Amino acid sequence: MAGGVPTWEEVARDHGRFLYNVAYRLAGNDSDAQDLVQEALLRVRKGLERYQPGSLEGWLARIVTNVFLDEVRRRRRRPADALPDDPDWVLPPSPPADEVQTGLSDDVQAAINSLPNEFRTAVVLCDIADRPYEEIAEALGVPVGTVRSRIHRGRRLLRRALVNTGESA
Amino acid sequence: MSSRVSRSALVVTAMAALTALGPVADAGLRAGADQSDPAEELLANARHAAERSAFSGVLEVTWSDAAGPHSREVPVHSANGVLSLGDEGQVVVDGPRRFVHETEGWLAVWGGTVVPDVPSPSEKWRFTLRDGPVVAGRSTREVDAAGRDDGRVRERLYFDTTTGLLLRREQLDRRGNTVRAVSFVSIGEAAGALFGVLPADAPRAPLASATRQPRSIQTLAAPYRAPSTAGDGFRLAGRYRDSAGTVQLFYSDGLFAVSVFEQQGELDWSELPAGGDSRTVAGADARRYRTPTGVVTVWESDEVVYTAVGDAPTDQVDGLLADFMPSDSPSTFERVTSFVLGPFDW
Amino acid sequence: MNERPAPDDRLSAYLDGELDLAERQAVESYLAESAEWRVELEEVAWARDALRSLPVREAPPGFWDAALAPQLTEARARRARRVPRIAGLGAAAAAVAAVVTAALVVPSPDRVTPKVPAVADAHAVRASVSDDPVSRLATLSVVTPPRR
Repeated sequence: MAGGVPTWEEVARDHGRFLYNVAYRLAGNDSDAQDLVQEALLRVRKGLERYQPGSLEGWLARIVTNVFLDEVRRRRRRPADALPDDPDWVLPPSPPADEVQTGLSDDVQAAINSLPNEFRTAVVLCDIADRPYEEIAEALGVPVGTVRSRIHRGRRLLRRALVNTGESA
Repeated sequence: MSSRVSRSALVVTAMAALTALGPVADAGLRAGADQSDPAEELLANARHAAERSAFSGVLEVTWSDAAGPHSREVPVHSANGVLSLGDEGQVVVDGPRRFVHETEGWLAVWGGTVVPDVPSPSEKWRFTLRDGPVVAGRSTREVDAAGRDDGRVRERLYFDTTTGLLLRREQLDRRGNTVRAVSFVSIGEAAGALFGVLPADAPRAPLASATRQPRSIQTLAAPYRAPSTAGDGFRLAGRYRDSAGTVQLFYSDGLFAVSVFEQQGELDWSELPAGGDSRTVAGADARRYRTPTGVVTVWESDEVVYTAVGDAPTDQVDGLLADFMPSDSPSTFERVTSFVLGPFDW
Repeated sequence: MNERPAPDDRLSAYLDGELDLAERQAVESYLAESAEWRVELEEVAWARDALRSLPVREAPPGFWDAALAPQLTEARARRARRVPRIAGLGAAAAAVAAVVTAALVVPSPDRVTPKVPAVADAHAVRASVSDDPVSRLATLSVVTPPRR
């Protein structure tokens, strides 16, 4: 790994958990998250030659977000396509890693799912991928002020969604 | 009776010719308007190939559910234009007629002389044709069916190069994994068939049977729902009602099919069989089962109990179900596990 | 005169350490003086914490093997497509009488329950009429009985 540029396998091995986590929080389900990660890894593979050593996780977060937004655009054109396979068709059934806290984290994820995409991406990049505002601005192609506004409004919407659940439960 | 005898003689003679002469050109067997696509021709010919050949074989049916993969072996015989399936020949096919044997006797579960139609698959599916692998010791031609919109292969079919019989079909999920399959694992010519003598255990259509075929109906009023198209390219290809009043809508996209059964009343969830998953489909509570035939989904809406059975891939079935689901949902936000109204539609 | 603005997105930036010195001091003074600002801070901080407390979601088992070895996966797929030899299974379970009974649903005065094997069979029968009959009828519950 001389010169700071990792190999594709190193990226997958050392940052796979990060990649999958961000993908899952964006996509909201395992099936789509897997598709996102597969596509992101392909882009990582192709992009490694041009990669400037710096914030690797920032770069990865940006790739996953772009894949997610590309998929959103694609599905808007063909809504009938937007359906994941049931996960237990092929993979053996297995409980998710956070089974113990299933109730709460599922609720939070569902609240994330309910956010419009512009707020969801901002909030996930900030609070899940832990990127600074400037990186998020670059990733989303908007000014930092817009990032700040989207994060704030996204968090407020999230809070409202979760409070409503509690009341109606 | 006499017409049946002469038909038998004709079929036996034709069979002898087929099996004796070797490969038969695909094109000659069937005249059809839109048979210009050789792959579609193979599919169309296969529907009658089983009754034109004489054979004995064993099928393997494989599918999976939450408990894992399953498989069953099903013996098949064909002679004299009649097919039978099962260890004791419990299922019989004679032309368009289908019979099932149960404890009390034979049931005619389909009897129409008019064969219902389905849409052409070519609008939604693109077929590619090539030489296939050996299946049950026979050489095959392989047809892959890919969606025109995403190019993903969702079904592979393998046809016997000699008889055109469909020897194997397998269904793939969106990642290309096989999720269900029906395949011959062994097949051979029925003893004696070449010489015009039927083997003792040759299948025969029952002479007497109780009618259990649903009636074809033309119109359907509220509270039933019967959209003429649903999901991704599925067209309503049949409406039926059985003796108990249950409505069956048969949708097809030319390759796969989904039936939606509708019955007025309130669903008794507690009486549903064990082994199903509780799911949310487009915001509605549903129970889902995996069966060898396909995925079965049960839900209720507006005083009608719906049961959908699809041999199509799950994502295709879900797309169709969305057109039957209630449009508004009760809770402030809910966990949508099937994403018709999910995060990707904003 | 009240120059204090309504609570705004500087609060999120404040929590994330994204404000410069001047902005930070302004926000802190608003927080000291205004209950409204404090309430909104608390709400936004709550959401931020809820997100940051989410556990790391792991990929399902087998995912990384498949993702990192596309060549292996393709070879496996090719092998799977070749047909299995005659299965050496023992005799199929003793033939069970068919469960294709009269009604597809069991009606009672006001409640109905669909019979899952029966509806699946009804679909298979109809599908077999416009498709290959052998592969469609092979899945009937009378020859592939449902597990009890």
